[in-house]
Amino acid sequence: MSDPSILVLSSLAGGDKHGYAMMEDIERFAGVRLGPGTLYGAITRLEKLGWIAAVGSGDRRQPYTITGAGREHLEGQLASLGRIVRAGQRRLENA
Amino acid sequence: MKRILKLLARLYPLSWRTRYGAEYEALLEEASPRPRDAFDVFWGAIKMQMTAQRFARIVLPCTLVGGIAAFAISFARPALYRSQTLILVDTDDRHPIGNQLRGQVVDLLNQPFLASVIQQEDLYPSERSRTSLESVVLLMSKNIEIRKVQTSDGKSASALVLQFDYPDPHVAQRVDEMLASQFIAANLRAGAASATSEFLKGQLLIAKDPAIKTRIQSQLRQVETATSQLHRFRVLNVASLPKKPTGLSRTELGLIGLFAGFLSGTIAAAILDSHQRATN
Repeated sequence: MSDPSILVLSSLAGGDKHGYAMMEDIERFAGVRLGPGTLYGAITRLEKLGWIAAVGSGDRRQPYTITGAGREHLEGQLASLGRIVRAGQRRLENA
Repeated sequence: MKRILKLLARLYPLSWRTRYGAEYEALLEEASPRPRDAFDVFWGAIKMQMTAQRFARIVLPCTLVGGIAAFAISFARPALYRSQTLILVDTDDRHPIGNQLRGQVVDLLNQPFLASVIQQEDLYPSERSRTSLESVVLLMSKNIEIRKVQTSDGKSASALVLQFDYPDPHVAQRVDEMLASQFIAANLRAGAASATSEFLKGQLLIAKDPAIKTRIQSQLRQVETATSQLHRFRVLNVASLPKKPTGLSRTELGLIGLFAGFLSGTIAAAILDSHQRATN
């Protein structure tokens, strides 16, 4: 599971973060290091879709927050993944 | 590395850099860069360029021009077919294929021989109508190559490949056969030295004057050294009939052209962006 959009949304579901904090968090919980280009590609896409939003900051390091629509999308994606995981595990057990 | 990443970040479109540039630079400064991040940033810039307005106006036309130019070049450049002859060399470790090979190559590429092949096979007709025979001989010699075949362990070669490139595969095969025959014949002519050696040995037996004897011995040593370095050549694989032309195919060349056009378009868009930002 290394879709950068899902990783960024999952990271922001745990609280607002700027780019570098997201990069560190994702590496910690998913074991995946997103490169700067991949991370900002996902941030650009997600902001355009309205699933994340920039929050005020006096710093160059811009924090982002997950929006209601983003949370809804993440829930849908994780539920779908959960179904796949459960089906896979059941089949492996019965095999 | 951080400097390289910052330079690559300039390839992003101006609109994107206006919105994300400062925070992106802050991230690049903070993160410990890895070599693969350079490709990641570069690829990210390419993808962003593809979504920018400039993509349709600059990058897309450049890509098309690159592709069309490459296709035009592929049509203008005649396809060359390569015929190869594998020649096995009976040699020993004391005298690996070396300097004397160069002499035989020079012998093979001599002007009268190549000129006779050109006329006999009616090679390079359009070039011959435009330029002198000497120039055509020079062109032909560029299409001939003799190289040693290296063994996988990198030891001295025990075989040679003699190849000839020409737009017609059947002609390439015929001429390569002729070149291989000439190459082997050149070595046989050099083999006549062994007969000289026998003659000098006979003279040494009947010579009485010590001064003459010394001279004969000296000449004999020279001839025997030359004879010992001769190789016996055997054609292992006769000249092959090439099925496919050498070099890049039309599709490969076209793809390279498209990529080159795309890359130059992206760089041009980034330069224009920087220029626009500087004037604003």
